This record gives sequence, structure tokens and C-alpha cells, in this order.
Amino acid sequence: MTRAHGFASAARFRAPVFVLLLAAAPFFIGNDYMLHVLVLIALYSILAESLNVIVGFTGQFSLGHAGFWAIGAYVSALLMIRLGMSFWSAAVVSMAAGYVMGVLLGLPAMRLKGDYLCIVTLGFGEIVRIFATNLEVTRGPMGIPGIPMPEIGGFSFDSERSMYYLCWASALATMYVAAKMRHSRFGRALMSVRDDELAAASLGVNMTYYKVHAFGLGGMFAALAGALYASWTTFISPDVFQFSDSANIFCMMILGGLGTIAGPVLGAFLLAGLPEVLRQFAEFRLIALGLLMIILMIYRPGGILGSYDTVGAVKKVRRRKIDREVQGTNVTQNK
Amino acid sequence: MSLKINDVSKVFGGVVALSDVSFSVEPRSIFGLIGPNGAGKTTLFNIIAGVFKPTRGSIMMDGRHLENEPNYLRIDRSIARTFQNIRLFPNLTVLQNIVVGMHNKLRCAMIESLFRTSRWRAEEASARERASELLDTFGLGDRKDDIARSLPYGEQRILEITRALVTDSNVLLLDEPAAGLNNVESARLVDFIRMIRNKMGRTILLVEHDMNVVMKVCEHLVVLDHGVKIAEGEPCEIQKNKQVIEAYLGRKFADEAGS
Ligand SMILES: Nc1ncnc2c1ncn2[C@@H]1O[C@H](COP(=O)(O)OP(=O)(O)OP(=O)(O)O)[C@@H](O)[C@H]1O
Ligand SMILES: [Mg+2]
Repeated sequence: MTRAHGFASAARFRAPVFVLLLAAAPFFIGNDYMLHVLVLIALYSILAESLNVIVGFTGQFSLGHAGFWAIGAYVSALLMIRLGMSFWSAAVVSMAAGYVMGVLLGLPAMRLKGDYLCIVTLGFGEIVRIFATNLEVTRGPMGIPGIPMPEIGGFSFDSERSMYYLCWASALATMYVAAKMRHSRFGRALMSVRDDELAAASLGVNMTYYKVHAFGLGGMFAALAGALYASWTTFISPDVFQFSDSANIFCMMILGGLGTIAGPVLGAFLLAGLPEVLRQFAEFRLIALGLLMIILMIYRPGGILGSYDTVGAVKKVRRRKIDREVQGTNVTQNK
Repeated sequence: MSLKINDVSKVFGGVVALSDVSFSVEPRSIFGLIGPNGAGKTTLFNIIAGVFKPTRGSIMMDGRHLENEPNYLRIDRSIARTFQNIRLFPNLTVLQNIVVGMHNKLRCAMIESLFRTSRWRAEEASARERASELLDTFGLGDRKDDIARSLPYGEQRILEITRALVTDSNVLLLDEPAAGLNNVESARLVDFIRMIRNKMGRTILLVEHDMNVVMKVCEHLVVLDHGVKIAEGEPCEIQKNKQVIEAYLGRKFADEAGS
């Protein structure tokens, strides 16, 4: 009820604290390994946050997010290596490529729901990987080594610490966009489509447009994560971008809180950070994480920070199916 | 502002949900559409609202054919609706539900919200203000920040009507707005429907099973039975119509009433 409101004002208060903590962290963290893990978390935050635009805001299931990540990484890496572009322009072009691919995936996906949509998006992720494995420009399974670092006026982001700042700045920017989007005509239209397509259409919301552009935006930010990743590790190959990553990103978003802003980032901390921190416990850590996931989903099905009704969303997938059969309420099926 | 239904038929597989239904709705009227369960009322609403295309026949608004336009353009043709099974945006707040109803009126692109331009701020503020005013009018003022799904059923009904109203459409299609309301709530609904017409000058097309409500507010009625229009006229005429009594209560009662 008033909880959503409480969260919003709490977030307003906590956001600066979070930013300050992030800015100060490198000064207290001596070893590069911890910084390395934090950079990984930043990248996963971008990925989970961008997936959230597609799934949490718009209600379209997507299990191929690693595909956009790969597209961003490859486009940016190739532009830098083959055409000698700077990281910055390569990243912008790769984001545009992510947008276009998102729209292209969104077009067929728009007509699908629930399980079917899962299969199509999963297929997308695999197709991207197969292309990367078999194309000549991407050097197949050998991957692309020697990807240049970002540079700005003679300063090179070649240290872990500088990449830390760049990646977290990008992650915060992604969070900012997601947060502001919710208070725009565009964002509200996405959420209205998620909550009830037919009602949204009855108020003039063109569902097709918003579903497709949600995929575009999600793809765009995932591609940014890809561009950052490529320059950070300086090496990419097809087996970096597996289905298990898509699934992992999906879990981060669900665990943290579908449709929230801080949730996906919290999910990234837990699912990308904890396994690294708990490395000494070897296999047990995976079991523990699995248990954590199960317990959370039982007691907080909306995710840790979630107020959005995930259980309701699942029920709705079922209801929609019934709707389509009984009432013929599929909006696009205007025959 | 005049809505015309011309010889509309709708067939679902083998089921004839509507056959050759025609009528026209006068501007600023409260027009009732009644009939027993399965008569085709909701189907006709869905056709007017663009969810279904009629198998035959046409829908005209101000002399313009609507039957081939997709449903999200109905707002541009000044037709808004509510649903028989309430369809709110359950995870949005009451206020956000209303602001989505202003979708076609807001102009700011998403990018303006990122930079918090003055145009965006002004637009959001005026949208919120307008939504609040309307919610106050309909007694939902102190529910503004509640999540829609937490509202009691009766308030959800009112919220859905308010959301349709904020689109400024001239024609409102209300599908069983009194369903599930208690006597107090449906009396309030009657007042609201009258106010929407009298003060706001809208045309209302009402599907309703609650005859109390229908007879109180409607000025003109069309009766459907098994997809066929069996009667049309003023409520007092309809109440006496033999065919209508038969459709609702069976032949036995119709004969008794007639004799
Ligand atoms: N999408 C659909 N597919 C198949 N048949 C349908 C569909 N929608 C409605 N029907 C059928 O059309 C007929 C009319 O249904 P409709 O929902 O329009 O009735 P109604 O007058 O609104 O009834 P009620 O008062 O119960 O709401 C029914 O026989 C129904 O089963
Ligand atoms: Mg009905």
C-alpha cells in the first residue's frame, strides 16, 4: 500500500550514501582482486538493470540477455581493432547496435507470451553465440585478444581502479535512467503494458511500440556493459557469453526485486559478489546460494526489495492464456 | 460525437454472438444496453472498442468508419471504456493509473525526464494536479498514493471509470459498473454517472444487469437476446415489453404479465 511510497523516499535518501560509498571504496580496498570483483558487480548491475526494463517494467520474459552483452562487446572490440575507433565512439555505436538488435528481437517477440517468449529469447542468445563462434570477423572460438582500453586526453583507463570508476559511473547512469524513466510518459506506458495490455490499449497506449522499444533500451544498456567488459578484460570469446549468464542475470533481477531500481544491483552484489567472497567454501557456496534463492522466493516472492507482485505476474501469464482462449482478448489479434 | 452501430454481426467459430444489431447513440445521452447473460453485450462493447472486428457491419463515429482501426486508436476517436472484470494497472498507484489515462495528452519525450527539463516538470505537475482533482471529485482523493490492487472492490470500479474519464473521450462505455457493489455504492455510482453526463457533457453507453440502476439512469435502452436486438425504447416502454420479459423470465411470466 503505502510501502511503495516508503521505498521511494528511502531510496532518495540512500542514493547519495550509496554513491559516496562506491566512490570511497577503492581507497579502503587494498587488493586488486576485490576491486576486480566490484567491477564485475558493476557490469552485472548494468545487465540486470537493463534486463529489468524488459522484464520488470514491461513484463516480457527474456532469457537471452547475454546475447546483447555479446553484441556490445564484439561490436565495440571490432570497431576499435579494425577501424581504430576510440573506446567512446565504439561504445556509442555498440549501444546503437544493441538498440537495433533489441528492436529486431522485440518485433517477433511481441506476439509471444510466457513460455514461448522464453524460448525465442533463449534462442536469440544462443544464435548470437553461434554467430560469434562461426564468423570470420569474430575469429570464431579463438576470440579477440588485445582489445584497447578507454583513453581520454592521454589518460588511459588501464588500472583496475580507473576501470572501477568508469564501470560504476556507467552502472549509476543506467540506474538513473531506469529511475527517471518510471516518472515519464514512456515509463508509465511500459508499466501499464506490463500490468494490463488490454487496459493500456483502451487508453491509447500502442503496445507494439512500447514492447519493442523496451527491448531496444534493454539491449542498448546491455551492449554498454559489453563494450566496457571487452575493454576491461581486453579479451573476449564466444564462451564468455553463455546461456548460464543470461539465467544468472535473470536471477539477479528476480532476487533483488523485479521492477525496482535498487533490486537488480542488490541482486548483482549477491549473485556475482557472494560466490567470489565465499570462494574458500568451494562447492558449498553454490548450494548455499541455491538455498538462499529458494528461501527468498518462498518468503519474498517479489524479491528482496520488491513490491511488484511476482506471483501475480506468474498467475497473469496463466490468466492471459485463458483470456485468449475464452475471451479472445489478444489485442494484436484484431482479425 | 454520434455513435452508430450498423448491422453488426459477430461469429465466433460456430457461435453467433451478434446478428445484425443496429442502433445509434445520441450525443449526451445515457444509453443502456441490456440483456440476459450471453446476449452479446460485452462482445458488442469489444467491437465498439476495437478489440474485435465485426464479422459484418460497421461502427461509425461522426461519419467515420472505425471497424478497421486498431483498439489503441479509439481514444483518438473519443471512445473510452471500462471492463466487465475490472482491469486496472494493479502494481501502479491510484494516481499513476489516472496519469496513464492521460497518455495521449502528454507530450514530453523520455529524454526530457532524464534532464528534468522545465517543460517536463510543468507537464508532470499539471498532470498530477488534474488527476488529483478528478480523484477528489470521485472520492478517491486520499487514496492517491495507494497501490491500485490494495483498493476495495467498489473503489476499484470507481477508479476504472475515473481513468476512462480523464482521457476526455466523449463516449464512455461502461460494462457492468454496478456489478459487485452494495446498495450504498451503487447509489453513489448512479450519482456519478449522472454527474458525468450533466456536468461533464459526456455520452454514456451502459451495460448493466442491475435493473435498479438501469431504470434510474438510462434514458434510452436497447435489449439484446442471443445476439439479436429484440427491443429499443424508453425504460418505461421496455419494462412492459412482452418480448423482453420473456427473454429475462421465460414465456410463462411473459404470458402472465401480458394477460
Ligand atoms: N472470444 C470469444 N470466443 C468465443 N466465444 C465468445 C467470445 N466472446 C464471447 N463469446 C460468446 O459470445 C456470446 C456472447 O458473450 P458476451 O460476453 O458478449 O455476453 P454478455 O451479454 O456480455 O453476457 P454477460 O451478461 O454474462 O456478461 C456468448 O455465447 C459467449 O460465449
Ligand atoms: Mg458481459
